[in-house]
Amino acid sequence: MDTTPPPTENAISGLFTYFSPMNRKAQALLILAILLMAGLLLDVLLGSVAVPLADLWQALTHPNEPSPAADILWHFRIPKAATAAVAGSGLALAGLVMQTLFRNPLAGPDVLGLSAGAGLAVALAVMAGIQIGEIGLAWGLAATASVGSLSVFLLMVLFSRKMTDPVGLLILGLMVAAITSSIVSVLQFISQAEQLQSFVIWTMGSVGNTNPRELGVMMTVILLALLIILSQLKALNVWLLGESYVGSLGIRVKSSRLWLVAGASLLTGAVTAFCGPIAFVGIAVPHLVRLVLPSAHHGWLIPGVMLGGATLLLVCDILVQLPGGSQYLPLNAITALLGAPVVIMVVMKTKNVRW
Amino acid sequence: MVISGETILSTAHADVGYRQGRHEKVVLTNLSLELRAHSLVCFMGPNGIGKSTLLRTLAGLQPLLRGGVNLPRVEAGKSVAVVLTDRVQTYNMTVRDMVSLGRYPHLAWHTHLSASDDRIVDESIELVQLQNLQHQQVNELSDGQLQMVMIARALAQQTPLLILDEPTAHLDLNNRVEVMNLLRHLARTTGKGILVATHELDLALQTADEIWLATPDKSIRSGIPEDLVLDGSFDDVFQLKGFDLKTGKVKHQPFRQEKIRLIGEGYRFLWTKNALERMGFEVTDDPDCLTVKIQTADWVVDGTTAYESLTKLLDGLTKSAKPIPNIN
Repeated sequence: MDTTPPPTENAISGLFTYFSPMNRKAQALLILAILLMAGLLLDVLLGSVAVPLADLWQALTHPNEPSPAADILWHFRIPKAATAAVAGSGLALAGLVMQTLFRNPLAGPDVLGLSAGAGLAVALAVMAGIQIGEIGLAWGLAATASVGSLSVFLLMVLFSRKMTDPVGLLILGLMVAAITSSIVSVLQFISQAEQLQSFVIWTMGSVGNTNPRELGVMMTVILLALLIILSQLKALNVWLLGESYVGSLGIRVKSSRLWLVAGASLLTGAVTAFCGPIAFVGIAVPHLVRLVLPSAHHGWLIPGVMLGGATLLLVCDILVQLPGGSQYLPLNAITALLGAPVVIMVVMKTKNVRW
Repeated sequence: MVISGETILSTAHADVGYRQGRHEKVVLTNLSLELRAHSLVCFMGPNGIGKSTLLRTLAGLQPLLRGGVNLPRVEAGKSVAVVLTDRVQTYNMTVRDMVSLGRYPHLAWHTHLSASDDRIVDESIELVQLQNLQHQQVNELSDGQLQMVMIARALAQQTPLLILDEPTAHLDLNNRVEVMNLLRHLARTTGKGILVATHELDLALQTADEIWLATPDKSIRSGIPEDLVLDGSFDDVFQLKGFDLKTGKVKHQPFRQEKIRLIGEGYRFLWTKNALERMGFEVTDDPDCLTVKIQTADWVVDGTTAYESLTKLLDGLTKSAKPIPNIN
């Protein structure tokens, strides 16, 4: 079955070897990395305020010279692009882990209610008087949101023991999300106008409102979650076969599941705390990445979805501001526009939506 | 015990079942079983009697209620490999990737396969003869091929004991025979002890070194297949309807109440007898009744009429026979 031609000095056959199936995984990662670079560049270059390229270059190369361009670049566009990239990679990784753990292509942090759980936790924090964006409370907010995600995730794990049908689990997740959202609505109704406004804006999702400290907290938590998930790399590959095989291959089922749940909850919590409940990135990116990355091994999939997630959220952030006006569209409107068709594709493609 | 290999697995007064809170459901009780190297054991019993529960318990996937199970190596994933009924569907996974998963108990966290791991994967793929498919996607395989891949994956785990839960379910006859023959061959050549839960009575009787038979009183009878057939254990457990275990054939009612003396030998005799019995004739040695003599080219009835094919013989016999008596 190995169709790779023997290596020769010929340039054309050298090209063949490079594009052989052996290298396709590395190529896919390379392509995703190039796309991410392009996304970062575009997101920094484009914006609602048109800034000449020369000014931007000047501001980039001389960061200490005060100018309007430097202000926009260093205080607005670069933090925003970084936030989009970090949040996108975190959500996509959470989605990958959840799809593998539940063996369910329709799993994701938003559809299984994790984002809603984080939202409820943040709403309660807001009710208790915490201002979103308040310096010094970033860790607290991330922790609160993570606990919210974790609570819903543990509930979904309990459900999944009884409900083996993937679509059934999806519906349960949507119901849990509906319940938490309605509690949030009630909280909004009885809360004061000032708290309400910051919260409503938060629920629309945004990557433009994080301060550097929040970005730092988000990156730290996501890095921690990544380490936790990497410690379960072997287990993740075996989880694709289901719980019984995990046990039979010498992996401690309960602790492995708990670490993965904790990792995905931290990812969802950290991102949701600072960017709001961003929909569809977590569920859609793993599918898009699998289209170009021919591997089921999480050693390839984890970097793949992190690059892909970062790129997708950057693209969404570019589209949010593209219409040219000074207004920004809600981020969730764009992520749904890009992500929902992927979910529809998955449902249509796989008659039996279980792996 | 016919197979004289070392004991791989033994249980002593073991109870298996489920525990939920304080409630306990014992499925099979007081089991004292033994499984030896080089042997193929078929585990049989009616549906729902708890075969999977015992297999899962022996594989360490669920706790034992009482008693003891002895396995040589207790290190997780290195003593028992399993092939389960869980449907495995994975996207972007090749046959070789799947078989490599069997090496996981032996790998570090980064899952890098050493040269010797790669060789073991090669050998496992060769044992099930899937070399040509090793770069194929798992979700493009037929059911029979997929089952072979799952067996190869279990082999790559290199455990002394292999447990398979209904590996022949959903397969056609040809694949069923292939799987059982492979298991038989693996037990002989690799020295593994192999335990297979199966419903394939006829295949099990012909391939197993030993049968474990789960009985309705929650215990297990074990023995070589022939003993269990002759002492009526199978009849007790399965209450076979229309299948004569001692001849290994479906029982026929001689509803025509007409006897035929059949003379001949070999396969032609066997299949002619099969055809006559299926059509309701009783085949006997009685010299006083209608005689059918099997010759190399034709079938001769009572030394007079010759038929050149079995179909024409049956046609002739049923036309000249008495009308079928109304048994009701």
